[in-house]
Amino acid sequence: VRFILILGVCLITSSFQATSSPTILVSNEASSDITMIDARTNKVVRRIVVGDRPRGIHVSPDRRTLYVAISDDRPNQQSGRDAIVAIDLRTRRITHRMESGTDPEEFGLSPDGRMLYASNEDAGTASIVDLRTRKVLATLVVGIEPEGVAVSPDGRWVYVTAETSNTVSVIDTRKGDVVQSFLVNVRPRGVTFAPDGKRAYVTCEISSTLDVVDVAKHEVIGSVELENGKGKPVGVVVSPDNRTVYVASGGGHALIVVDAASQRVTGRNARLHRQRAKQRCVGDRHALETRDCHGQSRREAMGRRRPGLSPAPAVFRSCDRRLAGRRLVRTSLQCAYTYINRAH
Amino acid sequence: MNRRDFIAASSATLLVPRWLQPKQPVHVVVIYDDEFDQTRKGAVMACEEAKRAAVLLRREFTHSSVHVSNVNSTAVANATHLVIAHETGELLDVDAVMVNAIGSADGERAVCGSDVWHVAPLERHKRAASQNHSGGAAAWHHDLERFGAQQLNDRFRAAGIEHPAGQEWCGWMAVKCIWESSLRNQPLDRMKFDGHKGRSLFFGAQSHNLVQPIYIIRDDKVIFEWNPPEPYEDVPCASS
Repeated sequence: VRFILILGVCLITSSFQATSSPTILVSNEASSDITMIDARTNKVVRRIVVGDRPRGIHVSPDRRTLYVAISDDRPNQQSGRDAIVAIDLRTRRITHRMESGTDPEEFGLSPDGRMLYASNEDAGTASIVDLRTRKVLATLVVGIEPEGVAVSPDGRWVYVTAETSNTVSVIDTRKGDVVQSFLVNVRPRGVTFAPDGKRAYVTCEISSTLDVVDVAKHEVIGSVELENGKGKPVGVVVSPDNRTVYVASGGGHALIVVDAASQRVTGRNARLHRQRAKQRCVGDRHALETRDCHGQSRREAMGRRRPGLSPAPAVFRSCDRRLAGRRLVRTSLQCAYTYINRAH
Repeated sequence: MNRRDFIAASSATLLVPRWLQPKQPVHVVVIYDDEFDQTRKGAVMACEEAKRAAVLLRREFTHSSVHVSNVNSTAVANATHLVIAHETGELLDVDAVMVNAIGSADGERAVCGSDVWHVAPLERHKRAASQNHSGGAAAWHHDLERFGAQQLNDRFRAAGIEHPAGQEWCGWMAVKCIWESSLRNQPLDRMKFDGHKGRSLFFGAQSHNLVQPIYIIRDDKVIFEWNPPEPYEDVPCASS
């Protein structure tokens, strides 16, 4: 989504940083850079220029490397400006660039950190990238306008949502191919697997639903309407015990709580405000939720806490492209981060 | 499968679990005249997108385009759906669901029927949209960016439509509505549609008109977005 700045966030521990406080990493689509923010002070500590239009952003499972998807403004044309950039989190410098197909938007990493799966928005494809050889192994046809990418906890399946065709394409990572596609509700955006891998959840923005997928069958088994059809959900995360699904509702300005077993809405938190993001703890996991200037919200898990390791990255989207560079970052910061420490 | 079969199948499948429902083949015929060739182009682009999705979903989707001067029983023989992109002729005796992709000068739709649907903005909605804003009212503009509009405009351009406007969007939307209602085996007025306008679009149950935002264009720029009042009060088709 071209004119929405993407801010990617992760917390990095002392093993990779000079300071002991966690760091938030932010990708800025309009100003073409990554901003490092001290999570404790909310101050910008570093800016890393990465090139055109950075969007998807994730940290490797070993927390050593930051991957960022960058792309040019030319649709359907592969160029050297369409790439995945790898940044060493110790040196905070770009170490290499990798091909990832045209116009990479979002991506997911395999649990072992060896493979990267990217959605190529303008081409309607997904690319499989070998992170060791840094080569594209396959480019697969998926639905039209692909966006969300999620890798199952066991690494077997990759789900890729497609906003225009209302589909989810299933990549079998053993075969390296799309083995199935299935229909979901209108304009699927975010997708995530439950930690046990039995269910996946797809947010459908225009139908304002959370679709529940049986991963064994790759089939929608339920749909939860959110905010009386006006929820505009995007971000979604599942609690570590698989029991609760949290959905950020852009239309409702709220965090919606869904009971996974009954597939019913069981609560909603205080209203979120425009340009505001919240980080929160869910069990022993961290998550970040945001709402941007365009009315879209996003919520993603930041991973399980482990001794000596920080939570994995989260990605959120904000803000207004009229803002630029550091001013953007600061403006976002002033209103973007609110930390809350209880579930709901 | 003709129109009656399609409707019967759609109605029957409302009572049948989705996984048991038959997968209906869809054949769309776009009937156009020279004035609305841009509408045809938008419709054809959507047909190609539907074909691509059909492959993924293992469904059958075919399409053809026929100039209105060449319309005959053979040309529309296998059509399950027609996209109307011309001002002339009445096609109510054709046995297919019809989606009208062009506007009508009389303010409401001149052609009514249980199987006739309209995707172009209503004249009265256009008037409401331009009540406080000078400029032209349109269903689409090539400068739109939000809600995936940029991506749709990019796809229009990739299909050779450099400055997509209301005509092209209506053609595209007509096919999108047909395809999605067919995929889900649902009549159009039970569906929500994404027209890349940031909100769900729907058909009025009485008027069969697509309820949608309208843009006011001045100096080739979008200066205002009008949205239908909520709750939306539908009105019967003018000639029903």
